[in-house]
Amino acid sequence: MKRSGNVILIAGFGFFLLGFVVVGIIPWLQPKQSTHTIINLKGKPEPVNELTGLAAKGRLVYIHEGCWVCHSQFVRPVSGEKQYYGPVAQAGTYNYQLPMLMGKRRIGPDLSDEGGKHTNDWQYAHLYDPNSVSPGTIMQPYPWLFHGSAAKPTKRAVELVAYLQTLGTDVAEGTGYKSYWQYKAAKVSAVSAVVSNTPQAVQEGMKIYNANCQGCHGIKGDGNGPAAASLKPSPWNFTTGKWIKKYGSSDKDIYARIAQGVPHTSMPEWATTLKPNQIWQVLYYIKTFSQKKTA
Amino acid sequence: MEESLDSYVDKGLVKTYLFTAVIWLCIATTVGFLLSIKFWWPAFLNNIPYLAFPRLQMIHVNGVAFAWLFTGFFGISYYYVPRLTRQKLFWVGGAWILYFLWNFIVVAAVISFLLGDNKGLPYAEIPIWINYIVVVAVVIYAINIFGTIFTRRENQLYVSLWYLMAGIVWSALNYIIGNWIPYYWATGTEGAMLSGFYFHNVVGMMVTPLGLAIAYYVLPIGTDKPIYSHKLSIIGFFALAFIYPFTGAHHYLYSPIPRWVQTISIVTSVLLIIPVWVVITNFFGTMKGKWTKLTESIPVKFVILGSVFYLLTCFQGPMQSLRSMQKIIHFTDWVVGHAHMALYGAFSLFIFAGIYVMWPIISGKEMDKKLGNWHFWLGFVGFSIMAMVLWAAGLIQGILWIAQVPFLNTVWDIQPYWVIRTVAGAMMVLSFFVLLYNMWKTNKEAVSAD
Repeated sequence: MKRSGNVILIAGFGFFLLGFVVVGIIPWLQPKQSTHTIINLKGKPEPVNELTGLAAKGRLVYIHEGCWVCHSQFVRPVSGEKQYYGPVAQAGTYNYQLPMLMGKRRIGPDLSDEGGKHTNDWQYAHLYDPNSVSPGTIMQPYPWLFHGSAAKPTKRAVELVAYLQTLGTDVAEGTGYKSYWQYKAAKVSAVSAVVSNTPQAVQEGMKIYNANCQGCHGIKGDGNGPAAASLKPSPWNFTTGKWIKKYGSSDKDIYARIAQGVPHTSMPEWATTLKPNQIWQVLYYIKTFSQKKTA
Repeated sequence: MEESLDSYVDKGLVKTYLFTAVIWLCIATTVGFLLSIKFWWPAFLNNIPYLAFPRLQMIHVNGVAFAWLFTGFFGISYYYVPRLTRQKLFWVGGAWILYFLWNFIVVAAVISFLLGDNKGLPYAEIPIWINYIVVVAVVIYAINIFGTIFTRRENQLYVSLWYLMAGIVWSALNYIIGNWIPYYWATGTEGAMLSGFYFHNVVGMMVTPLGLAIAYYVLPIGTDKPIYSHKLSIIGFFALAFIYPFTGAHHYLYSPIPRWVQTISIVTSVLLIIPVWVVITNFFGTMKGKWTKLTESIPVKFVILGSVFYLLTCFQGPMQSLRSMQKIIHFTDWVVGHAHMALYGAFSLFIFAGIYVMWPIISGKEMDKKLGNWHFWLGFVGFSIMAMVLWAAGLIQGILWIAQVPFLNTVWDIQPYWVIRTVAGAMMVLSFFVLLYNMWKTNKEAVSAD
């Protein structure tokens, strides 16, 4: 009867190791799985950069602060994730990463392509107080990475943001763009008005503005939102009308600024978040700020 | 006869283990309750680094898995192993060393998480220096259990002991693979494969066999009937051993890991229906003619409800591993609901059943049945609401993402569900405190009666 115990042990060991070899070891031997090359945005193979310096240290901060608990780092080829987040994940992107941080749950959005999506200022403001730039978010704030204000990041915050800015930038290598977002913004061309300027459209625009824009531009459109103090350059003040002179008076120009974002500022490109009709509604609402002044 | 079997059990040892386990359960789930509040009230406790969301999340997950379930598994095995082998534990001192070592591990892990120290790997967050101590602890446990079983005086080797022995071997192998290889050597997609292999096997090859060992032990006692079919026990055991290790990659479907690995994981996940339904057939077969026990015996209540949840979990699991389901539910709360059904719905309930069988014998007094029923129903109703709410929230958010609704709006849309989840979670936590109080009360009354 003692033998039955041994059979269980051997079978237990044997089956487990069989599983381990088949789904753990054999794939490891496939060269495709250890490649350090990916296909860039223009369809050409490009070598992936290994993280160094600040960004490599920032990755440790990312692990330490548990960012990976709520944010995944892989974009699937299904469920419209490509439109939502950016290019589909490729094996090469991950093969310098130890440990891998692909993640398991999206309590917050995927961060595969976070690099270049926002400026460093925006990232600091967001880490210090996520609600200031993203009102209504449930993200955990990280004031302990700062010396009392978003404008005074600690070394660890600088490292973390340096890391975030590298995420997903490999696919832009060799395309002439710095990140996927810059590449994409260039592709967004001004769309002709799909909504006409009616009181209803302005009303809808106000809702969208209050949910998405007032964190930086202020609820009154005066450029004095909760996050504004830590952003350089400061968000535009819509109440004076100067901004229209600077950026051209046609709605199409303004539309392009909103849709594409403004490079080197904290203005993100909204074409990935808002639909064209929503951007037009916001645009009509923004214009009312300066109309009130002149009227 | 009964009396002589009792004399093999070190009652103080089992009592200490089980009481400690339930204390950890109360702590880990209270942390879970606090976490659930942060979902709909993000300002709650959010300015203290030690109580940041990710840190508490790690304490909740590891606390439930390793502090509660494993302390419970250890304690209960120290009860049924001596009885099934008809002799005292091989190394009682070792069992006490394990007790202090394991609690040191838990406390060290909690402090590490509070300070933000973690490895960045799901279910393998515990820092590497503690992992070494865990391996030592498992070796001490293995020496004790294998020593007892290999020198046993009972000829027959009951199915609980197979599951226990295999569970120990798998736990050791899996723990080493999952904590060291993806941390030191396996980069990128390979790391994802091994990490998936590990954290699925934490449930499948560690918690499942150790939990089923308890269910197989408790059910015949509760029903006063031998297990329905010895043959089904064997089939169930070997089917589990053969199929489970292949399934881990289903956590990374549509990721850049090789497609054939993903396909193997889906096929084997669906095959898991076989061992589960075999076990369930065996359990329900044992109940034949004894279903009235369901209304009378608290342990039978827990073990049968646990079996039903086990069946549901392992029907849901294969279905959600299909690519078409993954498109919607991956990354959402659906998966969180599934994990709760496995760890609470099935395996925690098996331990509760074990506690209700063992506590009266080791403390020398019957437990309060009314409180037992409160524990059962509060937990059952609370969990049912929580699971439904999480599944609904998962489906809603998954579908909204596909519809390209802005991320933040999808969060607001499921926030009401998170409020209900907190209420349901509070019911569950309360049920655990009822159990703790019941155990404490029974023991106190037994002592004062002496």
